[in-house]
Amino acid sequence: MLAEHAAGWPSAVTADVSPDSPAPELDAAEVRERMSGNLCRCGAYPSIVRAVLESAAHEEPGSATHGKPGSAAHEEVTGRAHEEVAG
Amino acid sequence: MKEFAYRRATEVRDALTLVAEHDGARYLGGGTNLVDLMKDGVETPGRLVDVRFLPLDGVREAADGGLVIGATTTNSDAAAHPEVRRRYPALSEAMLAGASGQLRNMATVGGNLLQRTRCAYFADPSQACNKRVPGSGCAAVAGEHHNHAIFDWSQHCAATHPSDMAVALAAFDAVVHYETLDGAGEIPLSEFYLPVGDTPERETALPPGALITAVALPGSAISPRSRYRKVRERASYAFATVSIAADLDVRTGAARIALGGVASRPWRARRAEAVLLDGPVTAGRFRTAADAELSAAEPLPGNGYKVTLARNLIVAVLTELADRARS
Repeated sequence: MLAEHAAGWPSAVTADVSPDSPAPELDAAEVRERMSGNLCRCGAYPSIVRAVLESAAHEEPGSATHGKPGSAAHEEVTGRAHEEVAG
Repeated sequence: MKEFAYRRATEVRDALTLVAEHDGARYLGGGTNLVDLMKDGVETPGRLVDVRFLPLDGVREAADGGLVIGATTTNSDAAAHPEVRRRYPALSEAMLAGASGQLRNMATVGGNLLQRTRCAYFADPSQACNKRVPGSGCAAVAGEHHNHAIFDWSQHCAATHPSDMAVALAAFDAVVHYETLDGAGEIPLSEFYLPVGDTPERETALPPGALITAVALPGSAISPRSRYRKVRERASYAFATVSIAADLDVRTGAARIALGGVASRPWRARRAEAVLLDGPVTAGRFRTAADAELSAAEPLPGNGYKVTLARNLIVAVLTELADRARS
């Protein structure tokens, strides 16, 4: 999820999906929409949203979040976010 | 779940042959709808032919300045493609509004077109459903139908088509490309889904055994700022109650509008389009256009709210497009 956002992929709550617009800021609404279907059909629980935002803030720019979503980097990021949530 | 054979094709001709030689064989894309229906006994194919390994993946430029989206492109990849987002934002928005990230990662563009209605009676083999068992009746028309069609339904079936993507494709006058053992063909999206009539089990104009290979988007979008908006019963991960894809030229009134969740197929709002083309683009004109479209609605006893919802949605999205164009 973080990799998709870092790659500039829009979501259903992104106001402007144009690739020429600035990438959407990763706020709570973006996290909820991107988590939708993962855990809770209602969106996501508030603590999980906070954990994802916290995890994203700890990512170093230019590190694992770059590259095509679905790549090895994506797996690494997903695993780490999951670890922080679960831990 | 009934036993079935699984075959994987790596060339289009092999896939066509594998389906043609086995009565009741079905193509398998992402399996996000077909496999669920098999688990519930709604679909009972004896053979699945997996088409995900065919060379039909990706988005490419078309000669007319449009785009061609390969049939096995995932919904995620198609929605994220820069040229889809740049030229057909309503299509990207529609795909992003569908299902969840996991499902979009699996679901293919071709499979999305062929997904089945989410009518609860269709999904339940203990209920009467003409779409599932022709001649068995329709439990929805006299039953629970708050999420059913308001246009062009019949006493035989009032189910809606569930796709978001197809609504945007209808607005953009997309064309479906397919292959058969007798050669290739194409069908405009406006003719792809058949009217319900008394044969709700017949859903598309595809010839028997045909495999969708691509969807072509014409190079003539009206404006680069089209919009898809979806109203649903929760904020995410739900099918549309009513949705709209719209493209508007505020100078000429030329518009393309399609509605979702209101008919057995994406509903092209041609009455509204005609009104918009007929006069100056004003807020009053948007209301007249919406009223003209909804004057043809025939709601069931339990879904009249969709008429109001669709009318308001048309006005709201046209207003938004006009405001954006002027800003």
